[in-house]
Amino acid sequence: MSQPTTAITSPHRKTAEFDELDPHGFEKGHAHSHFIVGTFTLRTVLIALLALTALTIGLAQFEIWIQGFLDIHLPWWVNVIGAMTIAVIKSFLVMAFFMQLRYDNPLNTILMLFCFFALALFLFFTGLDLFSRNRIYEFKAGPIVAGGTGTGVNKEGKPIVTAARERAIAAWGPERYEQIRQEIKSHGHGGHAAGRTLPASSTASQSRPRLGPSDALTAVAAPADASHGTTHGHEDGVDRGQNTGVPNRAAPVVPDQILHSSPASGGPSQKGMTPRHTPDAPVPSQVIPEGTPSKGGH
Amino acid sequence: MSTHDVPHDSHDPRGLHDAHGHHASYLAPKETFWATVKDWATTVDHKKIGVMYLFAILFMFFLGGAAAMAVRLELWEPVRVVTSTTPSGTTTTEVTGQLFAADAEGTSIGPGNNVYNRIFTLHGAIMVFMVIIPSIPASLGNFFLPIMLGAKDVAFPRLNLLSWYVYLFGSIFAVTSIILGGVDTGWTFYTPYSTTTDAQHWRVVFMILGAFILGFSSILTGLNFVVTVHKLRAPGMGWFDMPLFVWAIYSAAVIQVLATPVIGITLMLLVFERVFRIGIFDPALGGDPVLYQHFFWFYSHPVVYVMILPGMGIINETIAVHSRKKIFGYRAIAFASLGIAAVSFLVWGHHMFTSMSELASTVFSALTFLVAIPTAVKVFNWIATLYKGSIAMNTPMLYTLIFLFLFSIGGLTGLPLGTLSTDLHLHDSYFVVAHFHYVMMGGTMMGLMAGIHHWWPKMFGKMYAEKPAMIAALIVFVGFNITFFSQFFLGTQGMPRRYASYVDEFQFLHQVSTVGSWLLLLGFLLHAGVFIHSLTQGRPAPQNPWGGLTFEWEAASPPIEHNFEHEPICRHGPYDFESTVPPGWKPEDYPLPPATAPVPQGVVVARH
Amino acid sequence: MTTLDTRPPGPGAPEKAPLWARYQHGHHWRTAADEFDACKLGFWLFLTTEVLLFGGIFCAYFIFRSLYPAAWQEGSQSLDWRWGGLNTVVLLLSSYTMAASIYAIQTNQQARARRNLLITLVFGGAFLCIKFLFEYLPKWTGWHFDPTLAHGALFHFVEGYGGKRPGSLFTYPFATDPHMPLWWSIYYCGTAIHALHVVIGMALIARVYVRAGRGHYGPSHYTMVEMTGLYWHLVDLIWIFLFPLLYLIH
Repeated sequence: MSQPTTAITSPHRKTAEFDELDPHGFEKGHAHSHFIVGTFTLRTVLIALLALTALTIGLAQFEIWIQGFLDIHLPWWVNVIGAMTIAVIKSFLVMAFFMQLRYDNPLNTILMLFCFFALALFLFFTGLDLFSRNRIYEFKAGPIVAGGTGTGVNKEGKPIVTAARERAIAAWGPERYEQIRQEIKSHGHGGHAAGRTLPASSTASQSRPRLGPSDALTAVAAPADASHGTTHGHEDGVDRGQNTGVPNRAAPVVPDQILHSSPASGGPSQKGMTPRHTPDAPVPSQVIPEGTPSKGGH
Repeated sequence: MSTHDVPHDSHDPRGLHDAHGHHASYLAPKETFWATVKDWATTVDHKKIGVMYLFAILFMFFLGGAAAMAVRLELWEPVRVVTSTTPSGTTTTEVTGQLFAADAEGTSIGPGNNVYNRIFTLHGAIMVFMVIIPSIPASLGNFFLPIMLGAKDVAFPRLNLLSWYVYLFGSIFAVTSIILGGVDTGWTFYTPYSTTTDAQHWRVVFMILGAFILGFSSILTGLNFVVTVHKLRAPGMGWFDMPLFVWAIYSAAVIQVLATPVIGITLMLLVFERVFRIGIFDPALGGDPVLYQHFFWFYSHPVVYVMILPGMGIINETIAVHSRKKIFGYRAIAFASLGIAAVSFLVWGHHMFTSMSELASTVFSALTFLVAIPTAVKVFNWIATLYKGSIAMNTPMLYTLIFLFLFSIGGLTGLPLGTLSTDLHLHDSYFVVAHFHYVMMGGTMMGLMAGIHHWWPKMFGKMYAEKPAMIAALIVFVGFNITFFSQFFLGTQGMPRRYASYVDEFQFLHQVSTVGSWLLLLGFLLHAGVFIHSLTQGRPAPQNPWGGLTFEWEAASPPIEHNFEHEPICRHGPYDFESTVPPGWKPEDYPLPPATAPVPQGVVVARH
Repeated sequence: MTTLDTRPPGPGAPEKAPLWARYQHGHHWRTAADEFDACKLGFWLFLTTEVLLFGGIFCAYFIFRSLYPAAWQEGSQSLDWRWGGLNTVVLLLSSYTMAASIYAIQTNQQARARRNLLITLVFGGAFLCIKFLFEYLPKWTGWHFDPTLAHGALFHFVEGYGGKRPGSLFTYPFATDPHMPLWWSIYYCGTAIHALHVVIGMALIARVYVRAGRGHYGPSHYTMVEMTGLYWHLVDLIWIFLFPLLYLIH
């Protein structure tokens, strides 16, 4: 079938450019080249990545050291933002050089950026809901009575962690339980960071009263018993120096720092949501763990 | 495709002129029956794969439709418990109006309800995952996207075949779950119901796994289409020379690629939650069931745009060709398609107004109004295209008009659902059911019917009987409206969805709706008859029965295996009816408007 | 430097050209370059789906970390950053060797390419071994693996160490924060799905390694190696984010 020449009976919009003499591209494409990323670039990037990994770990260790040694309290977001920034830089290096995005069609880069953008949207809007539940109606962030659907807790109705602890105490007896606990904590069998204890003053681990399912979930007894916190705290002999969220568990009380917190620093950092808990019970002073700073922040 | 020793002929690098029978129609059978079966089972030809998808989808449509008929039958009468005392003093209790008696697993909610629940779940899951999502992209998209671009096949033909087999495999999983008793959670599998009820894990797990596998099929198809549009356009075809059907499929494919993995991880986590009770959706362990809803709808809202965008794409084609007029506002429609795809990711919370915080609900409500804008732009452009067009009244055009009417109603009724204050009353009522049936069925399925009839001559080389098809279309239209318009009233009056029974005052409207469903069934059965008649006794179709200008009308009816004898070159726009004689038409049969400049001496009027 | 500089031997070479030099691109592509670019584009699209898959887990992680920081703090302390750090280094090195193998293929150094692919495979295996033997096994069951035989046998049981399991399977007796089961759910979901991707990546590398031995890949055709490389780098990328988020919380 012959190919007719031009053709158009009236001028209409021109279609895209193409090579009139070789529209089907028969002549081109016998040799094509791809950019070769040289070994020098690859090795430099590797060293940079390893260095950044060391930096991330170093930053984390530094935080522990500075809190223990100099008693400087770094807010929780330092760790997150620092680690995430370094991770982003590392990922940029891997994507640009190892995955050759730098030498590639820009469309691929745009695709990847778009994907991260979609992910960010997902996190943003989900967080928007999850962290603003109590803006209008207090009850939406109130305590959820322990038990819930009845399937998350075990048959006795106890929280899983408590049940595991009691089962072990029943199996070994309280003294052996305590002995094993000390062993695990101090020797760090192949997994526990040996000897690393977080000072009581670390604010990063304090449970801030959260919007959504609250701490009352974990209480087995009635939530209204405000003094339950201290007795509960002393009963199991767990070192209250660490992970000091538990004493605040029993009642929906507001730890001291929240009352003093400024809106800018209170609550999760996402998008400036501020919790507006109004405590409906006076804060019993014995519930506040020792060493808690009374200034704002967490 | 790594053939290492085939001689490379630089004058014919793609072997179009070899003697291996590549000039036969793609439907031509092989020497023996089993050779034909093997050919279809191992084909990488996008046309064959598209046809296989088409028949699978129509089959699943009838399966899901049968479930719908059962649902509507159950709802003919409310379930009434009638206690009567015989003269001898014995009281008997009789349950009337219940079609599906309780099975061995009758729950305490209502003895027959668990069967009803399984039936509507079956209807929803089949229709959503196995019919509507793949309906247009996998069947008509697979067939016509490469042809419209002037290509020989999609970018990754073997991946296309894999998509098809994954679809089959996932469907078998889901259907197995149904046969083995089914799932009663609703197609949305909301926690905690889906993670805590039904002692037999494996039924829910099977169904969820089925949906998970189907997701992969969707992703691979979308991926294929995006790369095809970027890389396989004919010479002379820039982005704005492509038919708008291609723009629509491209936008839908982008959504498929970005959104489907999220449902993948959601379903995976759901299975873990169910089997191992890991607790992320369980409040007793500190999790949040609404988190599941966020994860679920992040995919499921964009996917409704995967459903409708290709339908709209078909309407672009049918409306231009059958009113023989350039589509109004090509760029507006192209950008609106992309815009709908983009905004669709921002609005998923409007399915969860009653579960979310007020702040998030307000934000999502405001964003939901945004998505109406590009949609409305498209509808206005289509109506403007019809204006002063030379409208041919045939089945594709009839379905196009039906689409415009039904989709507009569906879209407009989406507004009270997107408005936070009204949605709080309408949520989970029949209003929602009517709304999504208007957009999904009145939109996508009517678009699919329009596309099937528009491209039937091209795909199978046979014409269909026009009059019976148009009558069937009208029956479908009337039946659809009777079935679903009444449900708007049911919804505003308070009838909740997914209920097997109801208070007496709703009975009349329910009966109206059920009668409508019988009309719908009649209409679709008529269509099936028309299709079968056409395949067996239809008269042969010409190359270009409707006078379209896009590349598929340059191919034979049905196309040869490699689609075109020679790769076409794009020299005119897809809707330049005023200046181009359609391929396969003689210029004297297609007088151009008088405003056209006279043809200069020695210039042949383009055939492409 | 480009692959044009490393063309195969010209006519007159005694032996038949290797498989990669005789490669014919798919008939629906105009040129092999088109096919390669399209494969790359398609594979990047697939990588975006993988990123969004893990995105769901990251979303759950961030939500629950904000809700229960004490549990996350305690959980992170139960993880040994030294194993995590070692795994990170292993994956980074494997990424480097993968990229180096692509360089070798592009410069037609077949033996070097295969060597690097093998090393990548070994690193991947090392990652999995560290993860399963030194992290998952002790945490789940309490059995520790000690190749130095310091405790007499290869495996020794430490009472009370195990039981760190997800959700309702949790039995560790010394947890203080009640949301620990949730932490472990997120930890196992994230790392297990990542480990699954490592296994898939290793399968791809193994296949490429075998085919490279048969001469399928060279400067003018190495699409499959490139795709495998991209997948492996993505696996590394995910771990780059998982490591600080799981192991270095303070």
